[in-house]
Amino acid sequence: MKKVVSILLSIMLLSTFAACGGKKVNSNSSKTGGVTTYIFLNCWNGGAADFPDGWDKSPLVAELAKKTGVKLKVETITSSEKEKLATVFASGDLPDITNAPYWSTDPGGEGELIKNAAVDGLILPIKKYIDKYPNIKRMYQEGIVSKTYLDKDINNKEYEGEIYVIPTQTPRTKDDVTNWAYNLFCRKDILASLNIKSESITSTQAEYDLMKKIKDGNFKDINGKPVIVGSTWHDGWNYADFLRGFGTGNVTGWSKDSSGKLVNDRFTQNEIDKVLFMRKLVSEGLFDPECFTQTDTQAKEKIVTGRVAMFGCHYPNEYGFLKGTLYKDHPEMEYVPLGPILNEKGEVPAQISTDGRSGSPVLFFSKKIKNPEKALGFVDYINSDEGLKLVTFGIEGTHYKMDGKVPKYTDEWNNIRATDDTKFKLAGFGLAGNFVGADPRNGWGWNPDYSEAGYVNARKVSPLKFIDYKTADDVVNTWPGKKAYDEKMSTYNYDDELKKAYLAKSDADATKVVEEVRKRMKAAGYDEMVKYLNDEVAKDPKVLN
Amino acid sequence: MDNDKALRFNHRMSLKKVFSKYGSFYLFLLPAIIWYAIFAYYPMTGIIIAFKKYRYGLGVFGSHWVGLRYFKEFLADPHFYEIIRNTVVISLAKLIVNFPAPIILALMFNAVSAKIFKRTMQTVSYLPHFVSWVVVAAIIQKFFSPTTGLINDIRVSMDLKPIYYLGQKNLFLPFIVLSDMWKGVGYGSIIYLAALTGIDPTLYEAAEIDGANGWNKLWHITIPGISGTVGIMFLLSVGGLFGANMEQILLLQTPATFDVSEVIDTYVLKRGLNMNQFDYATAVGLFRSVISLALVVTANYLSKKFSEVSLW
Repeated sequence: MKKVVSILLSIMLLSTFAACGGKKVNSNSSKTGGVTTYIFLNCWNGGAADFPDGWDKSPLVAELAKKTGVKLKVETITSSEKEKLATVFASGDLPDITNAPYWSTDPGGEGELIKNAAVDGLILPIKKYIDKYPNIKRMYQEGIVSKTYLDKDINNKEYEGEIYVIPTQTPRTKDDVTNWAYNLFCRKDILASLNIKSESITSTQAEYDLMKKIKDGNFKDINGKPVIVGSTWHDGWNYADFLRGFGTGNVTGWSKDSSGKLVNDRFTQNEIDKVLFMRKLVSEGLFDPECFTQTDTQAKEKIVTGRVAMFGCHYPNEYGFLKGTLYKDHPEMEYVPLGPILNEKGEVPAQISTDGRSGSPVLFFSKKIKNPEKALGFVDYINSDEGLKLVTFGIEGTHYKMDGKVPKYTDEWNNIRATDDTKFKLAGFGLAGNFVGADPRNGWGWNPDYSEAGYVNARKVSPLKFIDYKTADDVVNTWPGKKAYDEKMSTYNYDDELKKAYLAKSDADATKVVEEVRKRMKAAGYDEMVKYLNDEVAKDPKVLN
Repeated sequence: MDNDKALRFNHRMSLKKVFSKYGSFYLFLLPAIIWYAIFAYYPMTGIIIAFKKYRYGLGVFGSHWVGLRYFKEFLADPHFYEIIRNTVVISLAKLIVNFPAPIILALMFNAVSAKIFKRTMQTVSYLPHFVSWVVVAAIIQKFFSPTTGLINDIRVSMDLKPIYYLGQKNLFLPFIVLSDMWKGVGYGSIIYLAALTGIDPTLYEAAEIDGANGWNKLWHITIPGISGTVGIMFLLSVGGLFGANMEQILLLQTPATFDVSEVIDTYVLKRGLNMNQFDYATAVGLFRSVISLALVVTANYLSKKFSEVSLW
């Protein structure tokens, strides 16, 4: 009897163990009643704001599902895009559709991860489908994406003629290029209290003097806590705006020395001056030393109460977050752009844009995706005139009305859009930023954000400049030794080293960081690279630096 | 020779007898064996990418062999000595300070006679063990942040300059060691308390009759009574000497302390996940594991040779 009981117990235990394993659920696309559900990964740190809980129950999404037969189950991330991509690719378990950064296929970038995954056969090749989808096909046109981007990254030579990614957030014409209005922003009431006009801060010295005055001014946030003079959003983004005065005005990280030869910026005195300036801000208590490693939440906790007097950012990001929070009850604490702070040549720094975008977010599909044509049809529909109108303005009569040929939000939705980003995205409007490429909406005069007074002003401070010729970086990328050079430099993270320098005990320690990178670059073959570059530039002096 | 055969035969017979009698009970082991096979031993096969140029598409087994390339690269890495030094310094500091701490705490608990106080203190000391490192790091930041931390708020209210405590190289080690102690000392003391309950109370009674004071009893009864447990725990700790708790360090390190905080485990994570060099990171991880194994084997050998304590 004892034996029988023990055997039964063993079997029960084993069954329990087996049950713990759970039924294998197919995590990928499922189909119900003619509607296919795809898993969509929004691979952007903080991208969850585009898809608040319940967004998929909105009429807009229902309408989209009716038109395309596609629904999305969205995954978002709060950590680094690179880490997420590395994890997804290493596991081989790709979501059906992903939107992720494709800035560069150079080593260490997100682009390299995506390129490797494509070459290794994890990503769906889409060249054979593209001709059937005119709205997707448009996204690959030169002028919409730059020739360099097209040659180097979209049609990467390692793809052997295949195409794996769809570029998104690209403009259709120059009128459609987004001016993100990167700037150094300061609280308006603090400037008023100090009797300083934002446009008077045009030099590094003026910026420094302002920061000193803010520190001495005993300013407080909405809770009565003393302000942090200078800080940033997550992971130090974008402290570079504090260094605008050291900008070279060049398109690339290459400058001409006194003899007219191109040298990498890291070999210039300007690089050291820039590092020492940042260290000075930190050591004098004018800049938040922990902002380089703070999370998105920690950054927002500081900024949402007006605790930070100055930060670097682009306009849509700060306005999108603050309009429904700090500005609601404290409009006097609005952040306004300073400057323009002139660069080292005394010029207004510009946002440089190539003829067509030279790096972009991209969509790509898992090799294992079911019914890829349906997924591509979904993307194509969103990029049609009808689809663009739907994801941008919602449903006619509910969210917008036509004003002649131009759709205009109703007063209610215009107000929600201006003041409550979560409610706006809950209606499904977050889809637009993830699936649209060759985007004509700004040029069509559709997007009222562009007429928002603060944005107009911030764009004036931070103008756009177009370039339409190959750059020194393009030339360097053709250097035969580039791959070996990149491999030798791949263990070196200059951004981390710079942060060490800003927090160093002394100027000498900070300077050592730059000297160390110079040594490593030379050991990796910098001298040969720079010789090649200058030889090529001598043959084609039009190359932009 | 014949005797040996007979012995082996008898042994086999006895095993057979054991299985026929208790076989069903051995089935209880199966879930554990299966679990270890799937989740512990099968993943270990991934170690071979330390010797391969890992490609997603080719997978662990299909990728091409590169021999000891990544091990050589690690030895030639400019960060090599710094990483090894930091790993050893942090781990040794933890071993020296935090290994005796739970023993001392257990002895203190053992000496307390007020039961309610003793139980309350034990519970309070265990609780931090159940708090994740993410929360511990957040608490530390709430206290020590240069801009929003309580301590600096007090300093500023006293017209003193705020200090970026987590950005001070000389404070990194105390932060790591003390936060580790705060989190683990109570929970770590449980095993020693258990060992203490195993000491025969009549030994204390006899010692009292012989006129021993508290110190004499501690020195001659209590400590020898738990020395076996202490020895085993020490040997296990030696195995972890090259593992300095990645999660804790990663959450508490700042760019200002990279030079003293980068250890093998954080380096492995950064190279693997941040820089997509899984093969190289695996090689570095394997390097660490081999050293840890060598340390345990050596410590165990020495311990066996000079005392009665050993793991095997």
